Amino acid sequence: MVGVSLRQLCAKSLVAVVLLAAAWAAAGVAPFTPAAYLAMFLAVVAVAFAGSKGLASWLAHGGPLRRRARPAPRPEHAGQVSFVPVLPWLLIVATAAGLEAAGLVLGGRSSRLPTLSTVVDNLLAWHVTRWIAFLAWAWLGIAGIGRWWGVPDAGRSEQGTG
Amino acid sequence: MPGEIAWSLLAALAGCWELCCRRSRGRYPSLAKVCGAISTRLPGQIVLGVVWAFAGVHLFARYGFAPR
Repeated sequence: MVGVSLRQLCAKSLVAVVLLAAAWAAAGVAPFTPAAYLAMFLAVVAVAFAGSKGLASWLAHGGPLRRRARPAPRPEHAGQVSFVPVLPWLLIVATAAGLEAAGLVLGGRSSRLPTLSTVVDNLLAWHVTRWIAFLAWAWLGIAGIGRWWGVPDAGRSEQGTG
Repeated sequence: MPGEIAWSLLAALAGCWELCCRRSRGRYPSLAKVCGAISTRLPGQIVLGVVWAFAGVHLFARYGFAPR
């Protein structure tokens, strides 16, 4: 029992080290090169694969062609958010969009009003900060895709076909 | 410089509002909850996925300088 858990721990640690090293390598590629595009393509595919633990189960149950004899019961207003409480977020997004548009009008790299990309670019000039940003971006993708296509969705499809 | 200050203020405002939302016990939705509500339908999932992929490609492949 202890041997199995130790083996699992070693395997997980090895996977984590390999992923961190791969992220380090991907974050170190110079932009605008074929290697940069290849690294990002592989990263998107790897994140989609890592996040979709239930995707294989979903496909095994028919994927998009599966028959839904009975739609999964959804509580009323489940996952819905009313408009007024979201208004502050909309204002923040609208302000960001306005700043971005003004920055683009001024040429993108204006010293008075740079775009968000240019501001972030100053933070991404170092390999370490680029690596941390890359890991944060990948984690966001894994968390999002895992929530959409993860195990709960596969369970719901089983309910729907049953 | 004014632009950097404006962006920093906006980021700080978003961070403060996120904290307020998390302390409001569901009265105001956090950013994660808003994204969760958007992603309850397939079009929302596609939009969020495209935004995520675009952000990655834009930041790490199509913008900036070679890292030091």
